[in-house]
Amino acid sequence: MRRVVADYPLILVALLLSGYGVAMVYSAGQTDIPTVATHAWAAQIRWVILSIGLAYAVSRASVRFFEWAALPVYVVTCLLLLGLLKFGGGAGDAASSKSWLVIAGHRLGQPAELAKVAVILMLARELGARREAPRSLLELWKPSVVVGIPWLLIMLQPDLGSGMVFIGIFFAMLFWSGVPLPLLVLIASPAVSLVLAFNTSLWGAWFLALLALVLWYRPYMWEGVTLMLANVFMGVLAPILWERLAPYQRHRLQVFLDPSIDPRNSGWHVIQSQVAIGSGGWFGKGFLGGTQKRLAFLPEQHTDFIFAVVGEELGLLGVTVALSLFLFLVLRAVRTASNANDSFGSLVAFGLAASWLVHVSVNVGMTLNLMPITGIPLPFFSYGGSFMLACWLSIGVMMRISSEGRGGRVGELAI
Amino acid sequence: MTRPSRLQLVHGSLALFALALVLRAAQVQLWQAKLWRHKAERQQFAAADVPAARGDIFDVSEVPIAQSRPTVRLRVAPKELKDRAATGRALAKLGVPRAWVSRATDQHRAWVELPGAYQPGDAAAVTRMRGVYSDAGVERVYTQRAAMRRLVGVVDARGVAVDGLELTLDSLLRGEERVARLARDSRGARIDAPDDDVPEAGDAVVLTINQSLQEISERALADALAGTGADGGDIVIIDPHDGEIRAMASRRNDPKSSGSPAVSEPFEPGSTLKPLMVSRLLQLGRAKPDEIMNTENGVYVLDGRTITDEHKKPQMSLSDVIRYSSNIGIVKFTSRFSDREKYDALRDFGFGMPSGLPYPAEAAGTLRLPKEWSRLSPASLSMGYEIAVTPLQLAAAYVPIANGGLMLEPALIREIRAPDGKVRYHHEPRVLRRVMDPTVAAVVRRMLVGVVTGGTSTEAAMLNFDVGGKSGTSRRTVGKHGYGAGAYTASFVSVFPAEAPQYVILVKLNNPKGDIFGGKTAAPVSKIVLQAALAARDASLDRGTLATSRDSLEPLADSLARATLDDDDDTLPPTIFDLGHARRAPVVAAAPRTVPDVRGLSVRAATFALHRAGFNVQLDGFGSARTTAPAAGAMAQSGSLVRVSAAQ
Repeated sequence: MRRVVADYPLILVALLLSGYGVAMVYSAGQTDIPTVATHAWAAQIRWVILSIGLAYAVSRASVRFFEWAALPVYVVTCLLLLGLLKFGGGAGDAASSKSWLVIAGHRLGQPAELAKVAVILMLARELGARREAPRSLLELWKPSVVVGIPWLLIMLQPDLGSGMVFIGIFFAMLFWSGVPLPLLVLIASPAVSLVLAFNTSLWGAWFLALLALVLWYRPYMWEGVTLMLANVFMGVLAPILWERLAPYQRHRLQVFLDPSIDPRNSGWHVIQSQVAIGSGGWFGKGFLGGTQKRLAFLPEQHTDFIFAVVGEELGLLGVTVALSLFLFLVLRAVRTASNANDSFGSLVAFGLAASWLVHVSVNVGMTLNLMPITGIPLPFFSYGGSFMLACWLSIGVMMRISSEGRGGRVGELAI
Repeated sequence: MTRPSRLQLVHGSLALFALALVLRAAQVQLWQAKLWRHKAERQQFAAADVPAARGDIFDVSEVPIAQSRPTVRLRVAPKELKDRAATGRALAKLGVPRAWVSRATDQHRAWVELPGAYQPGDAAAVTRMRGVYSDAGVERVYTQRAAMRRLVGVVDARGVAVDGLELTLDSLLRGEERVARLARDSRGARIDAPDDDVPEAGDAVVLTINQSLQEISERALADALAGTGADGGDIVIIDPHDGEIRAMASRRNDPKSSGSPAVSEPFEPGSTLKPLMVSRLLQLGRAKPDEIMNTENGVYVLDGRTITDEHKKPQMSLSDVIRYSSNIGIVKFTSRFSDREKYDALRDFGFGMPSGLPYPAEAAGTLRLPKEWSRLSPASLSMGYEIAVTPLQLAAAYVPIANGGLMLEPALIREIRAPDGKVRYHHEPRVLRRVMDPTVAAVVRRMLVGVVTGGTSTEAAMLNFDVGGKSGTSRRTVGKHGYGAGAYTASFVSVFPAEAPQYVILVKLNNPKGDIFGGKTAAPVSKIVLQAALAARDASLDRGTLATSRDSLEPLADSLARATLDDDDDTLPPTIFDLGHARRAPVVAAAPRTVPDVRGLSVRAATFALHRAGFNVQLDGFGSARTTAPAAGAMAQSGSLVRVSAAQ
């Protein structure tokens, strides 16, 4: 017989978030003119129940089983993503992207959500198997490939939001596995150069700081040279790239910086979202009472912009409660990560925590105009079956890791 | 070890993330809240006029004449349609023209506004569809357009009254439009008006007009114009019990003619004035019905003017003067009046001043003061010349003959009801003055029966009922100077049934060709109207009284008693009024009344006139009054505010 001591606070916070989320999906459907969101809440409830069942089932398996299953799950996921490029379908605003698995006309789900968990498992297995953390760029080729393949496939769909989550997971897990911070900075430096290239003096300062870092950290000579060249290249490339961008792509970036230059089109989402949240004030307009939502000004109100409904109807209070729950969830996951009894479990838990953190901060950030619009859902809130499944799957995995960890007791060693 | 420090790093950055998000949320929701709330208001709400339902107009038997009904106008966004074929079918079924159906389902178009308005019930199947938007409106429907068009008038497509009663009663019918704050969704479609902004519907108006009788009159007029070649005609029917106008029909061949000429076009009445003169002779005891007068064999020269009779006789009784319409007889008999007495008589019968009917452009007619008269005037007036009266005035002047002596204010409105059904105004017969005693009225009626049974107007006689009437054939002025050759007005005024009249009927034909005499042209029309009214199911006739009136030969006194108003209608005070002393009937509290015309008056005089008419006054400017709001002639509640705009 084996007894699993469940991580009750984790379950509780996940349940609270799901309940909160279902309530908001219901509210998002209450518009004056019926939309696709009107009956979404019923489907969402079914998904939550199904997801909790799955989480329970997953939590019965051992961590070793997860480690064993990581490779086949990863391979299957990559094949699915590859297949999507040929057979995938779009949905809603992103009709041209191929993120949906469509079989015989039925949209089954978005494999990208599953891919996040698969990549976390696979990356944890890869990093956890090492005796020491990678200390050079060369040593990072394997983790890079693990993340790179699905990332590339997803960027080809294209699904920019999920792509960002992968990068977040990648850096977070490298960090947690012990990769030196300067190395992480060096890895990220070309991307930073690309962004800063638009201001020559800023880029110059960054380049000098980077040079100092390289001299201090002393990576292999060729690595240092490659990195500096990459930075120079990016700095030079950026203006050229900018010129070569299609006008609408440039427009999108400009709108992020100032949404009011195009309030009707590109800026619409973020302006309407801010109008909704901003008009909520301290305590909001009351549950179901959001006029911005009711009158269909708020786009994607049951999926990507559901947080704007929270802000409009429940005000700063509701926003703070939701963010506190998320903070607690992530803290609990980090605690699990630090208490895990092996590096695989620890890395998985940290990866999941990072995934949630990226989702929450990018999603909430975009509704508050802190981040560009990237179409990324809010965990436990946004309507969508695959994502709800992925979230609760993560909870199941997390519970198992937690119960096998130093804090918990395991009646019997698994497999 | 690196781990613990990394954990701290993690906690630290988590705290930073959380703080950043909460702070940003607070910034948006607290510091910028006003800005965003303002933006929300601006895009979510729009001010819109919510049209009030215009009050309905009914005839005296509550048959609707003009009604407002809600409509919807449709707008289609073809790109939003789910099933364009189904929408197309539904639109076609609704009666949308095919060209517009294909336009509305053409997905290359962004926005199509369909012409015309539809009933909400019919359009419900379409408005439910996605991509179809509707605007609520109000439509005015006239049930009996042809017969009522002149009288009732019309409103234009925007709901603004153009003429007729719609215009006069506009302030009552219109209701209170509200400017409502409407919720508006992201596509600009209206959602709904908040509950407290429901517009106040207009009052319903019940007319005294009987629609069947009106229609009968219109048809009789049309036939008469065709048959006599007349180029116009009017019929006015008044109920002598209460002064309510049961029908007021007009026809003109002139297509430019509009409104109701029965109240706006005065004419010289001719011989139809004679019975009124006779009633005054009898009332003052200046003559007796059987008194004989030398009628000079039909030719009589007075003050250098030759007066002739159609029916030439050496002498006639007063009754025969009426029966044969003797000009010489009436001139000689009425020479017993002083000028002042003659003037007073005509004035008492309501000539020379508006009847007070709430109708646009009512004419006062012409009755000059005696000091403006020429030497020939007294004789002319006795024969119905040198005086202009409207058909309505003339019919109203016969009302006392029919009801036993009481001059009543003619009425066109029986009742005004608020939207909640509360009666705001109910017409009570308003006695202006007593102009003859019941006995005199009965004698005059007998004379009128004589005209129909063996006089000039035998064509008006009916088989089963006594009709009393008097014809008139007067020459018409053509242009500005003098009378036109061959231009006549033929008229006939009758009371029916003669013993206890229920109708006073005036028929007037302009310029009949061929036979010009009122007794030959207008009298038959009157008979046709009566026959049709008797055959009609509902023409405001009291059949119980009719049935007895023919068979029972009651003594004169009895029938006279019946002719008094209080016999049939106990709403009238049974008081006998002194002649010449007009007494006002009690004014119904807050009854709507006509705004007097004060244009051109000094502000002081205008204010005085308005106060006297029972209105409160608000002045804009000094000098002479230019316009009033509501406009002159419009009906408004007594005690309501009339704004006077004055020229500086």
